[in-house]
Amino acid sequence: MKDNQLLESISASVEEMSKDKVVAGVQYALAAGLAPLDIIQQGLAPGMQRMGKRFASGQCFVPEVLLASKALYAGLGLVQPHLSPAAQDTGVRVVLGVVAGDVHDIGKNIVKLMLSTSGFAVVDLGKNVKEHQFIEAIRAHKPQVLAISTLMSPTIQTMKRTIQSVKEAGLAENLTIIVGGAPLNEELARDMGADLYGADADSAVRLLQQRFAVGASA
Amino acid sequence: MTPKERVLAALSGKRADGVPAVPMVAGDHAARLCGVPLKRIYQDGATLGQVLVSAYRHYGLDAVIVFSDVAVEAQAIGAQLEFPEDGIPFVVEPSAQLKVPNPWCDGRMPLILEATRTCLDALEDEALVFASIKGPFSLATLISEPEAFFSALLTDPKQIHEKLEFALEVQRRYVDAIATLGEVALFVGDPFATGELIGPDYFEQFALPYCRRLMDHIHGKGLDAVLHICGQTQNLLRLIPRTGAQAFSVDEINLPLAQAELEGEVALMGNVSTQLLRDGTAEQVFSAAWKCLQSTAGNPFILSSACDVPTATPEENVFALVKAARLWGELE
Repeated sequence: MKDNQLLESISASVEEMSKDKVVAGVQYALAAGLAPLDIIQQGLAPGMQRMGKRFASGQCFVPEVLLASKALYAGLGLVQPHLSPAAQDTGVRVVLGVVAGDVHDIGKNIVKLMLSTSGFAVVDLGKNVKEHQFIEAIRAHKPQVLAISTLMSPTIQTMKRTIQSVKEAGLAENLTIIVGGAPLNEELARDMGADLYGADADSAVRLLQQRFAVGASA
Repeated sequence: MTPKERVLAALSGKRADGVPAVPMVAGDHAARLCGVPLKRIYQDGATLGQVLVSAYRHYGLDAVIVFSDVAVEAQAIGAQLEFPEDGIPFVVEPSAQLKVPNPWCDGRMPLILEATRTCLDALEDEALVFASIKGPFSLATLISEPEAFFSALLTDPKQIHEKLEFALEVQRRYVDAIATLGEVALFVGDPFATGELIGPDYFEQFALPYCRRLMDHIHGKGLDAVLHICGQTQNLLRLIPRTGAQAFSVDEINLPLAQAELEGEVALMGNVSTQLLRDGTAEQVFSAAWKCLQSTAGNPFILSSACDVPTATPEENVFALVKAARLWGELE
């Protein structure tokens, strides 16, 4: 099988949500000597991106996205030991979390996965993250990006307060704040002081790639 | 016509004199309006009832919806909740065990029953009092680890059906308790059964049958019921008549399209943007409400907000929504 056919079949296996096929495809690709980074960026990631697009257009739903991400995780787990640490690094650190009052982290986990596969270094604070936890993490990790999400509308206010606290703490300089989640839109994101709004995981990654001029055409 | 007759007419598919105005004013907004600390409505049923009655009178609404937060039933089953100092409680840990609660003594179900009784004592002859409960699908989600739950829709449907049967049984007993309080109606909220998360196929397989059986149980008690689903439900509309709900309360979806799809089958309720209610001007709210009224003209309709009226919504914006319904009634 040609390299690009092999990579395409890995993408297709992610889209088919088949963990077994993804694992077999990745093992074959590694044995055939394909570059680990190519396996991620041209095999695994595009499959998940296509899944993200299908979800955004209502052709598939949360269960399919979750299973595809599990298949993707399985593939990543195989590739990761073969990566040289610097190979995929964009040098961009992201602190990521779901705001306090919200424990829905499915979307956040998918964003994390797609950022990691695109070479961003992600510090995941998890769900129900309080303002002071975001602030401490920013001080500790000095990220270039703060990514916050929420699934629910009552916590939009909490998100706004979190962004304000970060700014008041003087931590917003040289920090790109990106927000996402079902109840948000471009306008709300701007009103709450975010720099970017990611309508879905795929667009969040693309926006950050553009912002930092990394990875997009790699 | 009393507010009660006006709402009952809409629920029975008739066009009443005027359109009832029932924005989803929940405990948080009502407490804010009355200057009551949020914490108290999660501790005291009589206070919750009183602030809801006050909000009803203050705004001149056509019904009361007794609602505090989505986690009441999950808590009664055993889920761990967090109660923020000045915010709405939420589930942090799903329940380890599945035991059907006793609505008269477990969690905050007794608090909701007391709040409902307080509203009925004040308003039973005048206005319909809706007790708000979760649909079985959303209750099952709330007592589960969400990622595992949504994956299992595809990989382990049997386990999901067992959980849904359990959630249905919890809600039947809850409805039985609510029904003893007097002439109430049910407002069934099913926020996780939304088109954007699960789409029509999973909805038909998992949410619809249990919602239907809950509705049958409610109707069996001689009570009326509205179904509310948050988010995008355009792709579910064709299935909604099969839920058995008399009215379908919609979030920010295209109301004219929904009206065309459900005409003659289910009354619509909705759908002034909650963002507009919180951040817009009274004029903008009035004009959005007016558009809702125009797109459902001639059909049974309840004018409402797209979802819960946000805590910090300015009073004049809720007044503007009610004013639109009144003015429309006069012109008709």
